[in-house]
Amino acid sequence: MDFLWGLDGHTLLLLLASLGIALSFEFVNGFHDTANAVATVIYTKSLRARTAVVLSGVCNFLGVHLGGIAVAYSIVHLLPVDLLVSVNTNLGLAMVFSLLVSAILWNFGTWYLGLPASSSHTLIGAILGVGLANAVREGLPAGSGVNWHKAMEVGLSLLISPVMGFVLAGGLLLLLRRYLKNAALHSPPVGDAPPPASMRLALIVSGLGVSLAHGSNDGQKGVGLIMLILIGILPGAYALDVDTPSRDVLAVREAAARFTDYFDAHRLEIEKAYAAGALAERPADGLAPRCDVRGAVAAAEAIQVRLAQADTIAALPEKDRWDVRTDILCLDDASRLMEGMAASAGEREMIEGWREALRRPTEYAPDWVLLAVSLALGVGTMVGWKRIVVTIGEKIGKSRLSYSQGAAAQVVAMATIGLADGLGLPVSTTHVLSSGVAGAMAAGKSGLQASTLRSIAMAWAFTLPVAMFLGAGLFFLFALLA
Amino acid sequence: MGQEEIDRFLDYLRENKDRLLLVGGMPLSELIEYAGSLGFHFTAEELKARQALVHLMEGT
Repeated sequence: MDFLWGLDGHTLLLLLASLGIALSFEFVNGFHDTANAVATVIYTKSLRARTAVVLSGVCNFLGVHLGGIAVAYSIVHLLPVDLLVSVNTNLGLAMVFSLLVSAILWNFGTWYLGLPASSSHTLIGAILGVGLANAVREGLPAGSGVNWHKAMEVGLSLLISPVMGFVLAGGLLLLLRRYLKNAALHSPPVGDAPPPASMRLALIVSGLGVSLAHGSNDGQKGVGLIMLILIGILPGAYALDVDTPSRDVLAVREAAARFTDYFDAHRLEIEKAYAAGALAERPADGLAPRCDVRGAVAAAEAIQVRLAQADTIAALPEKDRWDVRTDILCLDDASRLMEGMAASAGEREMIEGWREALRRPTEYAPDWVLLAVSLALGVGTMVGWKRIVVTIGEKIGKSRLSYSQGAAAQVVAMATIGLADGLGLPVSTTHVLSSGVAGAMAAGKSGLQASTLRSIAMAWAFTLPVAMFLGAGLFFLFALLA
Repeated sequence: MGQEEIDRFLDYLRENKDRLLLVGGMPLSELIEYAGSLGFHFTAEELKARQALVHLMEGT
């Protein structure tokens, strides 16, 4: 982090403020979700509260390091490529600040007011809002402001994961009831006694697994935000991964060479697609680079020329790193469009392989970013338990959960979030876990939790649009000031 | 004695609405002490676990 010493006061202040806000987002996320992560193990007396909270914090910390970075870049790529390649301008910084401020305002506000909220819906809503506002501001069709292909993927993931949680947890509970005949396993905790040993182990392992999965999925949302900040404010240092092994740099050159041939060979089809409207012309306004399928060959050649002069990214002059990143993102976007028009599954697979090699130096997170995010999330989790406000009333009186219902919900939540990590998709960890509990309760004939459905519906009907408006409004405001 | 005591305390409060209003504004430590004085013995962590369960079930 030697670069810090070379920064002027204004940039340093901007950087520290942005990082502070992004880490606060993770911290708030941690204490927002503590109750969900440890409720079952503490309630069932599987673990003492202090032990459970500390272990949950540690698992969240570890989860950030073990989860990879695919989810982080799924979030980043919700923004259209034109905005991603201009993130180092004042407009880009306005975008980053709008995202950060709207996400933290809504996340903290809903926690303070006790409203159901999902940090995933908040962040994704803010990103969509900023993308749409940017398109409107530039006089483009609003629809071009969002990477709809990625938005559909993320939307489906957010929509399907709670349904999976509900159905699978219900199914698992029915299996447990069928094969585990000990009645004590299917009843709520009694007195001070912990659950039977095997069930206690299952509750502890699955509870910590949920915390690990929470860290791996929710932590990456913060990692994505911080990478946007770093790329925007310090493009020379962070536009590309300076630690990319030289064999991966070579793979980027090779992929760029293959794309040069591929786009050249498909020139006629590309022109036909433009004529038929399957590919849209993107107007250039002279302020920021525009990515276009017609420009793919030029981008691919520029990547090869620049990387021919350097075996590693570190050997590449800082001013060239931003240009290489822009060319990689533009070429990747053009290839994605070509992938959609590919004639066969084999061709699509081939393009996907080249794209993966091409993007490698642009999709990364430095160790210190992972460390900072994991600390913020872990500490937030530990603080969150202390901040639980007890509200005595009707609701608290009705809530009982059997050991097997708790274990079924946790096992399914852990597996569902883990699967989403593997697919590089964000999910709402709260929705997955709560719908798992609702599924287990419905299967256990404890009734359907209408309040869970209401919370999930509110995230879609309320949080998502509010975060979009907040993100868009702040973007217009910050863009005026930029 | 844990969750059953909390159940009994809540039943008691439902039958004594004036006391339900009274405990509504109490800090946690005071609430535990007040419940203990009425013969309902549970810990702050047990009550917080019950509240956490509400959050979990409601998705909040």
